[in-house]
Order: sequence, then C-alpha cells, then structure tokens
Amino acid sequence: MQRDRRVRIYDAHSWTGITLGIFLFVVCFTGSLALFDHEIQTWEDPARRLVPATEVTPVHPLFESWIAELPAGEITFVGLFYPSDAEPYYQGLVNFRAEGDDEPLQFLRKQWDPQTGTELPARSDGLSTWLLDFHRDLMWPDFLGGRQIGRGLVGIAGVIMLLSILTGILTHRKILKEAFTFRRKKSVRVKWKDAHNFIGIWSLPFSTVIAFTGAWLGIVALLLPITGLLVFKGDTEAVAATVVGEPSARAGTPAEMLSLDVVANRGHSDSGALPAFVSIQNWGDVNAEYLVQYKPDTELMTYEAERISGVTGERLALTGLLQPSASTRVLAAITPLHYGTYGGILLKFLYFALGISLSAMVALGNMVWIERRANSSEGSKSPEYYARLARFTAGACLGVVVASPAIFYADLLYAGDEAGRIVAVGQTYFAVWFAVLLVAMFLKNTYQTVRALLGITGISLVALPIFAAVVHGQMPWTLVAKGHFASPSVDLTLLVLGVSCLLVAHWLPKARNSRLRSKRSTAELPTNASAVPGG
Amino acid sequence: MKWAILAAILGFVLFSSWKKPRLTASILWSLTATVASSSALILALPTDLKETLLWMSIATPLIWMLFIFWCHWDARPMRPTLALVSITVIGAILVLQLPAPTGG
Repeated sequence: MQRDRRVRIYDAHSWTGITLGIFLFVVCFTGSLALFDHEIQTWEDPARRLVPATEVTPVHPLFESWIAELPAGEITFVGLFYPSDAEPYYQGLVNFRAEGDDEPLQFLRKQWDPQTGTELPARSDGLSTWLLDFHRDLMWPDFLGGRQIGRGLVGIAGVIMLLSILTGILTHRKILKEAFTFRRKKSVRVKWKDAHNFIGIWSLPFSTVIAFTGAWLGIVALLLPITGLLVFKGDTEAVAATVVGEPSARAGTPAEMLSLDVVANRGHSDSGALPAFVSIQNWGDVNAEYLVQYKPDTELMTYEAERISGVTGERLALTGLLQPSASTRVLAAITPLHYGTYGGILLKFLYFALGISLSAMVALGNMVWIERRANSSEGSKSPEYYARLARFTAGACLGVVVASPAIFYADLLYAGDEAGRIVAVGQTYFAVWFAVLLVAMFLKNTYQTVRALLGITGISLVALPIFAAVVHGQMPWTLVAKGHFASPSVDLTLLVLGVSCLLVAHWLPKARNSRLRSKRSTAELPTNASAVPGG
Repeated sequence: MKWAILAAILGFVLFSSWKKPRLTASILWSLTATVASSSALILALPTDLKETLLWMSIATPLIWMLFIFWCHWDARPMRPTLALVSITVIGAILVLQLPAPTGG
C-alpha cells in the first residue's frame, strides 16, 4: 500500500478513536453487563428468588382472570413467559389502553409463583432494565426524539467499530508478529500499544461479529423505517405487511382460549423442546393465534416458533419473518450472536470477558494516541492540553465503571414509590459518572486516579453480595441449599469481578515509568555516590 | 423563514463539501448515498420484494461503512464526494420515478 494512503487510513483509525472512542467504550462496557439482564432481574427482587417448582400450579386460570379484571379497552398484545432457570416464575404481559384513554398503550406485567400460584409483589423497572436499555438505546429521552434515536446512535457506534476494525487491519502491517508481542519491561506507551494490538488481533472475530450485529440491531431502527417509507412512498402499513406479514383481524366472536397449561406441555414438533414464551393475538376471539416460542438450545436462533390456533390448537403456517428463508435465517441469528444466548452461561461469561477486553482496547487506543502526542514532537498542543485530555478520557471511561456497581446499591436501597425506581437508578448512574469525571479532572496523577477508581469499583463489587444479603435477609448459601442458583451465581460473579478489579488496580503502575525511574535514581544517588571511590 | 433555513443548511453543506470533502462525505454523503442506493435497489431489482428488503437491511451497515472507508481510501478527496453525491441524486430520482410496489 502507498505510504500516503496508509497515513490516511491510519488517520481515519485514530481520529474515529479519539473522537468517538469514549462513546464506543460506553457502548461496549454497558453491553458486557447487559448480557446478564435475566439473571440480574431475579437477583434484584427477593420475591423472585424462587426454588424451581416440583409441582406447578395451572397458570391459565390465573392469567385468564387477570385479563378479565382489566377495564374495558384495547388489548393489542398478550404474552406469557414460562418459568426458566434464570427466571423461575410465570410472567404475564399485556399491552393495553383503557377505553376513551388518549394516552399511549400501557405495558402491564404480572408474575406468579409456579409452585403456589400466588401473585408476586409488583416491582417496577429498575436495575436490570437500566443495564439493558442503556446499552440498547442509551435511555434516550423523549424530548430529544425518543428511544429510536438512541438505538440508532448505538447502531452508528457499530458502524464506527466496523470502520475501526477495517482501518486497524490495514494500518498494521505485521499482524502476525503483533499477535505475539507484549513487551512488559518497556515504557507505558509501548505496553499500552502492545496490549491494544494484542487484544485487537485476538478478539478480531468477536469484535467483528459484535460490531456488525450491533450496527444492524441499531441501524434497523433508524434506517429501515426511512428506507421502507421511501420504497413504499410513505405507506407505513405496506412496509409492515411486507416484512412481518398481515396481522389476522378479530372476528368479533368470543371463544374459549386454548389452555396455556396445555401449551406448556406441548413440545416442539421437531426438537421436542418445551415452550419458553407464548405471544397471543386476538385474545378471547375465535381468530385468536398463539405464537409459541421454544428455546433453540444451542442453535443460532433467537427462538424456534410454531403458530397455532388459540382456540383449537391446530398448527398454522408461519408468516412474515418466521417464514424460513436464507435472509430470515441470517436475521434470526443476529440477536443470539450479539447477546451470546446460543451456548449457555459459560458462553455468556466468555462474551463478558471479551466485551470488557474490547472496552479496554478502545480506552488503551485513546491513551496511546494521547501519550504519543504528549511525550513526542508529534503533538501540536501543549503538554497540559494532552494531560487534560488523558484525565478526561480516564474519568469518562472509569466513571461508567464506577457508576455500574453504584446503581446496584441504588436499586437495593431505593425505598420510594415503585414508579420512580428507574429514575432513581438513572440519576445515581449519571451523578456518580459525573462525580468521577470531575474528580479525575482535578487529580494530577492519572495513573493514581485509575488505580484508586478501580480499587473503589473492586471494593464496592466485593461488598455488594454481603450488602444485598443483609438488605434482603437472604444468604446466598441458604438459597443454594434450597435449589435456587440464579441469584447466588450473580453474587459469585460480583465477588470474582471485585477481586479482579482489586488485582488489576494493584498491578497498574502508580506513575509514568520515567517519573518512577527519576524517583528511583534520585533515591539511589547517595548509595551510588558512596560506591564511587572518593565520592 | 423555512426556505431561508433550508437554503442556509444547503449552503453550509455545499461549503463544507468543498472545504472539507473527505469529512463531509464521511459524515453526510455516505449516509444519504446508503439510504438512496438501498431504496433504489429494492425498487429496481426484479427479485422478491421481501427478500430484497431483508437482504438490503442486512447489507446496509456494511455499505455505509464501506462508503465511509472509500472517502479515506481514495487519493483525490473530491472523487468519493462527487461519487456519493451522484449516487444520492440518482437514487433519489429512481425512488421518485419508480412506482411503489404492490405487495411482497
């Protein structure tokens, strides 16, 4: 490749990193935590820490009476999650709007204990919702365009990541050599550079998959509607009909619904797997349809589905995106590939480790760029400018890291109105993030700041399981003895992460090598001087 | 007032395309070219509408990224800019000219 072209590609790589690196870090880091939203959902609510039921109570009468109790109005969607290892309870969902109500559709939820059939205490969205949604759509506020805009922005992060990967590959001429290079005894910059290259090369397949699937998941919310509107000249219904198929209409004739307990025991026609979720259209009508979703085990699919009549249970043909074709098969693989749901909990831990290293790679790339300019003739600004930039990068990145365990505490300690839970979690998140950023900007030694912040994160993570046990009055080992594993596994993960943070904080340098070296040489001077004859 | 704002935006875009062609093409023209070319291809290709729409949606992030990449690959900064503007204009004309599909 020509030299000037290589320089241009390198510039594209470094400038996208320095301008959007912190945003990429936030998306990668929050995505690593979002992998465990189901497990955290059970962890955050002591009422949901149930033991797998030996004998299940029929759910259909409970579900039916809940729907019947709703005031007259419009129901657009009804769904039921069956108990799973991560969420060992029934969870019903209804999208509802009362008659004469101008408000948008309400999303109602209710959970039942599968053993006793008792309704679990209502708990509003909190920690787990924040962790997932902040990664998915940045919880983008309605006054700035709503969640769809936020989702599109996260998608743009995916496109930028794809571009960084491509430009990174082309910039590095000795990829094979760099994959096995880590010079531990060299300067901080060389170590960071080696770590950036090492992680980048070894995680290349993972980061490419994550970047592409993330870009698609985000962009589809932003660009597909625009493309669809252009193609269909503004006819939104035609777009939906082409992609997802025509929805079946209500006949207006009431009918008894097929029991959801019968559906629960109805295995998939090919795999024999039991249903995980059923979504229902036209509830209570003769035209009711159940879309029964089965966990696809280790297959690369979000779910396997069967469409059945909600009255007779007769199998119906699959429509829209469920119709098997090459494109729908690729689309079905995107979410499992992005969230690592196709290989059990161990794969999720692998995804988590790779996601964290991806975040570290982005931050290291930025620090290399700054360090290179701060300590060589390459930088055109003052050393103080680069020092401020380094402090800002450290504060902004580690602010997210420190804020993440902080919202676990906020959710645990929240005692106000349930509707305000997610607001309190969000406020804590931004308050801690901002406070860390401010502190990092004021402290002169960025190395010490990073160590201290990682240390704080480590301590707060280690203390979290103990604190949660005291607040909830449930010891993890008692839950394990009863046969509940989802919540104690989150405790154990927090503990391991906390210890890892403390070890990394201990291992990181206290100051830039040159400063250490100069201190060391000053300290060694008298000894050396006395060693010199006549000194 | 509305026309004045639109004229100001257009003026700014043209000025930045002339002064900073690579940057403007990376940020703006790559996106417009992606949307316009995808829409035009969906309408123009004689394949199954739903399949084309889905495949184009899968390809969109890659097309967008490659357009941005091209802005930095080409030695002459104006070439990708002009090409992306042309793709946007041709795509828009095709979208306006071709009739809306009647169904999948």
